[in-house]
Amino acid sequence: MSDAAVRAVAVSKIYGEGGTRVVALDDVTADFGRGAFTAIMGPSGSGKSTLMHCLAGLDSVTSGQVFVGDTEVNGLDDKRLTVLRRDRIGFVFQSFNLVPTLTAMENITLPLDLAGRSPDRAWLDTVIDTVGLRDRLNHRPSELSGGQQQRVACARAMAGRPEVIFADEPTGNLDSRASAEILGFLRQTVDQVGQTIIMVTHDPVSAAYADRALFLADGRIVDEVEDPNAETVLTRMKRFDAPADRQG
Amino acid sequence: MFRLAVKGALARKLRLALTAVSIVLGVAFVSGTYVLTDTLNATFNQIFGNAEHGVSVVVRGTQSFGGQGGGGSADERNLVPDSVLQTVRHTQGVSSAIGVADGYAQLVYQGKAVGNGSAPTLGSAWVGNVPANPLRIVSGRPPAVTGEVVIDQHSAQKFHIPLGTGAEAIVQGQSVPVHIVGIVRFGKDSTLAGATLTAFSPQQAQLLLLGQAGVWSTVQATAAPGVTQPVLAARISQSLSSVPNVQVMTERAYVADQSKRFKDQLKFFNILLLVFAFIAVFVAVFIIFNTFTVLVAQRTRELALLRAVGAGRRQVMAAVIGEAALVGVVSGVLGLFGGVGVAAGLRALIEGLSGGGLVTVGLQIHPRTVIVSLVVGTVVTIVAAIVPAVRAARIPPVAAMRDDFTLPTASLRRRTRLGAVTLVIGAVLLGTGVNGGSALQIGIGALLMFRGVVALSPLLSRPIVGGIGRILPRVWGVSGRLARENALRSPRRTAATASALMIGIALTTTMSIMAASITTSANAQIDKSVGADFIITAKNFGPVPDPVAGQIAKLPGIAGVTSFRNGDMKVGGSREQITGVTPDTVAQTLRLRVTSGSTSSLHGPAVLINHQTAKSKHLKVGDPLHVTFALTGPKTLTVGGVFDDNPIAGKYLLGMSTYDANFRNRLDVVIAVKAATANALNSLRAELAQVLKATPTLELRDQSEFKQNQKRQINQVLSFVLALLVLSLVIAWLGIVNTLALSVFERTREIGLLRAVGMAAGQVRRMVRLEAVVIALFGALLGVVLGIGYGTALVQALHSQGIDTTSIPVNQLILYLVIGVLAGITAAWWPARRAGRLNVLGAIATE
Repeated sequence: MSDAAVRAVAVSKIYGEGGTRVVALDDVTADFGRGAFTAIMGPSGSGKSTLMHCLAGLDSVTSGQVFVGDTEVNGLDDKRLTVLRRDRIGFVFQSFNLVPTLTAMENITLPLDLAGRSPDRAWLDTVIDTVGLRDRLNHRPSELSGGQQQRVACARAMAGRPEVIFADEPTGNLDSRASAEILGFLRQTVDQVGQTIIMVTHDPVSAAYADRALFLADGRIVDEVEDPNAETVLTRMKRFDAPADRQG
Repeated sequence: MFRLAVKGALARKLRLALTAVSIVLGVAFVSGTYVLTDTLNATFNQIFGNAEHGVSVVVRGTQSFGGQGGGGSADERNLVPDSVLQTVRHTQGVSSAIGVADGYAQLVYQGKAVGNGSAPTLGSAWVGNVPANPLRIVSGRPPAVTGEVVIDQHSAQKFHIPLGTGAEAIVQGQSVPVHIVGIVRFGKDSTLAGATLTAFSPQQAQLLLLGQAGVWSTVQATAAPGVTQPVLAARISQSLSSVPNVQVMTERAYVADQSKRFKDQLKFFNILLLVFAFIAVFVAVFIIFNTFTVLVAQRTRELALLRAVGAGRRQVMAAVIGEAALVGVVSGVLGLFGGVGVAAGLRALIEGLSGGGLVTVGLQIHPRTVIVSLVVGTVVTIVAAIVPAVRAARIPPVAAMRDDFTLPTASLRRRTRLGAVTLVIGAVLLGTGVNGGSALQIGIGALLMFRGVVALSPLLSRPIVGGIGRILPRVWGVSGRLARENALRSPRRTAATASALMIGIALTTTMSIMAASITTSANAQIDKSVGADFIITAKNFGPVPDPVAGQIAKLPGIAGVTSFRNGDMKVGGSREQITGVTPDTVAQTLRLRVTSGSTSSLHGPAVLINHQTAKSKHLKVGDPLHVTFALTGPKTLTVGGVFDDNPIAGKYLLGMSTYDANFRNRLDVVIAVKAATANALNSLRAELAQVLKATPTLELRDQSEFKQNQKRQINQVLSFVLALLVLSLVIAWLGIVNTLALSVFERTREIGLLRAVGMAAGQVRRMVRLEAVVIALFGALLGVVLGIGYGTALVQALHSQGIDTTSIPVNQLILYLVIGVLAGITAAWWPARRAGRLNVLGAIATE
């Protein structure tokens, strides 16, 4: 077993054909270490979201291989992909992260309920206390603030002890205080229980919470920074002055 | 704004398609009804016009009061003596004249009754090749002597009856052997609307059909060239001024009078169909309303943007209404064509079933049909879209900038309060209406109750849908839980979808309760008031010839045979049904409990009356009763006895001799047979069957078969009504499909999220299906409950008609709930498939 929780091997993703052909990912190879918090950075259109979608089995790759643990993701059928996402991956999205008809608690246990698994009570308690939602469990998303909703989303991602959590701009819709809270939880989970997290962001401050930052431009990994802080990341980002918005 | 409306409609054509289909179906029902009844009406016109072809003036006997659809004896008139024919022939301006003798004649060929379903079997006289005679001989020759007949071509072909063969003709009072010497057509048609015809020589026709020589049913005159109908009628009236009991009419007036009954029946049929067509259209209203409400909600930002860039409220409203109008017009046109297609199909079906020749005119598409179809399609759609349009106009421009803007909705509290009040008023009206109130009051009560339930349904959806939904999470886990929550999410949408289904199910339930109650009551009445062991009737409510009862009475092992004949008489200005019976046996066969007087009085000019009539008219045995018969005019009868109310005996019983003295009819409607002992019923049955063999139209039933037959007839009516309701149910079903499709569309991102966090496609499909089942079951439940209310109320209202037992067919009602569940499952098939196939990435990436 390799040390990486998630691996991308020579992954390419091409949309369209002929004149409309767009290379979103161009021969990307990367390892995402177990228990590490990795940020994928890049300007818009760099392919960072596409990379995350491919790594998480939400999108298929045109060529190359993706592994979650020892499982090769490409080639799995819809059923197995669903089970993979449900049992081994956690998601935190930028917005619309919760099911509006379910309470906070029900949202948190949703993947477990879908699998028909009963939650590990002690772990669930730990997660709930970590995100500080004990008194909000019976509220529906519409009764929670944006920050609280995102905390519920984090708790849901953690509840099933997934091998890896993918976070797609998790603080994109939040103010700076709520953002700091959310990123703090993610960091804490990595430090305390060795959770693997892969986060897509374009915000240098967010990236500073990660152990490592990968920089994407035009579908290629162009750089990587260990133990990034806001300044190093910002400096690196500034070098992407060549406009690369081929893709929304 | 018009361009915007057109573009809007085109952009949303998939979402509008189901709505359009529901309108198309409703409008097709309306236009199909008009086209069909107009076509039948035109057919009648042509038939009656053909039959009297070449006739200018008709002379017929008078009657004391007019028949109006009772048929048979109710329409009895005085006969016209042959001398009138001679007088008419010699009146100036008459080129020729004929006597018509017509009546009941049933041809029996090789043991088979020659006939066309329930079409009449007619006898008439062959009166030669004159313009007034509609019959034309196509092969053979006219009847020359007694015993020779000509028959219609359609019957000859259908029953393979060759020229020159022998057959039997059953007429009033007897059965005679006939020899078929010719085949005739009606003008150019082989049949007169499916009726079979046997034409005798004039003398034999008079004796067999009218019961005496030297008389005619009518005398019909053809005018000389240049003489108009009114002029000739005036001249004939002049020359007949001294002849009593005849009336002279122009051909036009006569045809109108003759066809009136058929046209009245057709009008009733037309209204009946239209009622169900409008129920279907009404169901469609809920679907249109739902669709436009959802579309407006989905387009909140787009409409707000319009407002922000300068569109006025009216313009936004006009855009939505315009879109509705466009959908309405297109659907109206399609519905019109659909209806014409359905009518064409039904016409072909009628032709196919009857063997052709019945519907002799093409499809009648009147301007009225076109106008009504288009107006119904358009107006209904616009009216249903008004509320959503008004709501669209209320969207503030600022909504364009905000992500989370939702349209404010009128408080459910006001709607609930209004609904509760409406429901209570409706229930009170219905409740008091059924105990002697008017039909109008009952109708308004039922309608208000319906309005009330619709208004309350969003509120009811919470406990009921929530209650039904409670088992879902237990059985189906998260899918079930989400399905329940989704169904509860938009109470108005759920309620409108369920209400559409509720209408059909409520009416279905009402009809089923009525049918079950009528069956139960009829069975109880048969048990209580039929003492006969065997009951003989003719197929299709046809008549039983007079001699049959006499032949049966001669069989050994018979305790009594009672003949029943129907007729009308006037008592104190109101028209009453009477029954002529065999006096000595009626007490046995009808279990008649005579409380004063006796049945033997019926041998004289007496009348037996039921208890209720005796009470209301303050009559007792020996009192005179002044009555009027259509044929014989005013008479005085003596009250010979009073019997306990008996639904089969009715109000007035006459002895057969009194009946025969005042009615020309000699045909029974029923013969009831009582066996001497109960232990030889099987052998008696065989003997009866032997007697009836000569008259193949007759049917022999024992008491339980008789009950079965009653039940079967009631269920036939029920099936017919339910068939008319099917379209409403189909439209309601489309409504469920529509709501689910719109909801799935609206929840694309949510479904994407669910899929992303691990919901399998199968679980998504199940979630959508279960939501549909819950909504459908909610609608079916409301419908069944409302239907039970309506049904029991209507049965209560019919108490005085002898429907005194309320019977709730629980199994059928459960079946309707199951149908509701199945409707939900099938309606969800396509939306669920779509939801399951949603591309996860596409769904969550929609920004």
